[in-house]
Amino acid sequence: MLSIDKIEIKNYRQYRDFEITFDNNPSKNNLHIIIGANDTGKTNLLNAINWCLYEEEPHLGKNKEEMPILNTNTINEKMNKGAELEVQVKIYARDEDHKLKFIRNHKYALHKGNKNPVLQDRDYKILHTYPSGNTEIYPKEDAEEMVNQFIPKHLRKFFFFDGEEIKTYFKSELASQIKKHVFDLSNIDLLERVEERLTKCHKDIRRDISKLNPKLERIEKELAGFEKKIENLENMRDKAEEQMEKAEEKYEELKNKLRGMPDPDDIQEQIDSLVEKRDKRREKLSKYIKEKNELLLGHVISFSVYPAWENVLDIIRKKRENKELPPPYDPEEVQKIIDEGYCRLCQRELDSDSIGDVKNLMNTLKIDSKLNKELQSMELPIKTKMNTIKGFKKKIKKINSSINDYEEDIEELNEEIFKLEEKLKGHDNEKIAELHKDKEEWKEIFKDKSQTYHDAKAEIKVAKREKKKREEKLDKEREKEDKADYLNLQEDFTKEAIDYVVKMKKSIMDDTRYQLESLTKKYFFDLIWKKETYKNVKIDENYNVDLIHKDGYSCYGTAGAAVRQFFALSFTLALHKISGFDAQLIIDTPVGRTSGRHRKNLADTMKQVSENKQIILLFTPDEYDKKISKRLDPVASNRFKLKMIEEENETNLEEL
Amino acid sequence: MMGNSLGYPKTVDRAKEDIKRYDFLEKENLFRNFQNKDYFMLALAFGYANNLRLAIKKKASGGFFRTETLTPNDWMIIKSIAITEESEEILKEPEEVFKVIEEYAHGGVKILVDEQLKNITFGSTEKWLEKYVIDLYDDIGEDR
Repeated sequence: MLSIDKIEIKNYRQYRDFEITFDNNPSKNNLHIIIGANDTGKTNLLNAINWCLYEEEPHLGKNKEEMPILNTNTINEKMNKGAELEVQVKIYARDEDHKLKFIRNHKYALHKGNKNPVLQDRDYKILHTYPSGNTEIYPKEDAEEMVNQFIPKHLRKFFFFDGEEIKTYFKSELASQIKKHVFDLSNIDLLERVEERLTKCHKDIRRDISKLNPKLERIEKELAGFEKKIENLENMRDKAEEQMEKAEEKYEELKNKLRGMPDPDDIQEQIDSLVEKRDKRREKLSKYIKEKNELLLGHVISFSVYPAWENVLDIIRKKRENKELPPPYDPEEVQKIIDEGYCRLCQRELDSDSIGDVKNLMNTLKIDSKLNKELQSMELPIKTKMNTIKGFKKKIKKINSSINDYEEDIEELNEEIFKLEEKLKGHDNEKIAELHKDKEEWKEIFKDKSQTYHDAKAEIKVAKREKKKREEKLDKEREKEDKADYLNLQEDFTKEAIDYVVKMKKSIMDDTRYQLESLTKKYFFDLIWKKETYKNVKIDENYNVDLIHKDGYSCYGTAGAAVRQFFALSFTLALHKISGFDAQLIIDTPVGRTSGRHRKNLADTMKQVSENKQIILLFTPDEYDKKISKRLDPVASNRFKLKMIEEENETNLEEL
Repeated sequence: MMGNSLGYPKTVDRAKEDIKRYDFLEKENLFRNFQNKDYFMLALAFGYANNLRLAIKKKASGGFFRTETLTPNDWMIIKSIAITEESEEILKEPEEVFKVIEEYAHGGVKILVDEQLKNITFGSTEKWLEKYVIDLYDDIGEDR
């Protein structure tokens, strides 16, 4: 079983000169606890291990990838002089009596006055010391290949476990990786080669038989055509499947990388839409403010002069009461009555006395001064104007309410815009936009390849049907041919041999899958608290996993985070057991998503598993509460604390 | 009849000392669409509402605006103030009418600019106007 003895880190991110030794105290378990607050370098320790083994840093947080891998303090110190600097991570491990040293180096040149180091050289090697004491060195490519013999890169998620990333486990791409891996480790590749050889023999025999008669030859040619077609289609399908997996992996990788980062294009679109909304509100607001000002300015004069208007109306009223104002009449009409001597109102001829009376009346009315007429002419406009004043407060209230609504809306929109703009600050938005673009491109590629995959599958089905028809036809024709007896016998034998190999392959695969399923189930039911909720664990032929509820329906997707974490852990332990890669388990934030009874169970399980396997757990101080420490402290071989020296931005280690 | 400017002076005048005050009003955004006649009517209303009629010591030369630009509504306001200040008989003396309104406008623009607008310490001119108009409205006892 592979376990890590020591890790040495030089100049990698916040680890400037760091060493951690995992001594296995014989009276305790092979359990090692590392406690570190956020940003003390817990996750980067996991990255350092990944970087050393695979030259990848899968757990880099947002913005960290923008920073140089070289320790920034070292850069700052050497910047003025210019220097050659080295990043190095060494992992000392052992597998039974074999000692292994994984060493990855990157050399950088730092030019005077320039903060950006330039990569000069990269080196990787594995030193393998056999029980005999002999040491073999595996350089570069050999080392890259060899590391997969200890912990395969595509299964690293099951060795370097991130409690926070639990939801990404058991994605289809990982399932197919597991399937391939189980395929390799079960030595099925040998059977694959046997099948290949037998198929070739079978084809040769069939060709020989067909040469015996032209009809057979024609059918054989058709058959070969379909076989070729199926082969091509299967290649196409497999290639598409590979590309789908790659696309999905890339998509997930970018999605993880972009987690917590803004999508600048999307945010800019949101900002633009909010700005447009806000500007429309502003236009409306200006309209209401203008309307309000016009109303105020229009009324300020009326309200000021109002007492004067009341006074004028009072004067007119009094004059009217004192009959100082004449009734309204038409002088032209009265003159006509006088001229014609006929009253149109009473419809009679007027005598000279009556005409005299009308003339007198005309003269009296003329006495009406120009002044009184002017006064009278003011009455109606004043009354009209006074009427317009009514309801002023209601109008103002209504306008103010609209203004308030728009102002509140605008303020809210401004706040939203501000928040979005803040989101964009402090990021390399061009780079992020590019990553988003890449992510979407991979999604498109996945869709495209998925279409190809399904089309190919459908075509294979049709071609296989046609092939079968030709085979039946060929068999019928061959029976008629006496000369083919011996060859027919050979053909039947090879055909049966092929069927047998295929069955054997399937049986081995099923067996391995069954073992994995049973072990996962065992571990899972040991771990969970409410055992009665679940009935079973299923792993299908494509290694897609599922959890079966007591009522019979599948429920992995809807299970809580703690249950999924237990499930992933159970699967991991089972995989370790049956895969032959029974290596250490390093878990970052192991209990992050669990609480209460689940926490206790998890701690108990870690305790139990560490009796036979090296487990390194990276906790935050909050996670490592009394419930956990009570269970793990007594059995842990080592307990460490990661400390960040703030001014120096460097991680140090303290053994507890 | 009401809009008839017959017999009235051809221009309405302002006090020489008010030139700067009217310049101040011109710079105020709230009155951006105002003509000279509008500033004058506003000043007149202010003078009348605040009961401040001030004799003009020296008129600005050239007249402030032409009498013919006054609308029937303006005349109604002018004559109402003049009648209330004196009596309806004042209408027989157009020059006297103008004297009354020019003196009220003189007092009004002084209050408006020196005491009101220049002393706005909090909020905008619009807010001040709103408060002023609502106070006036409450004073006249609407809604009647």
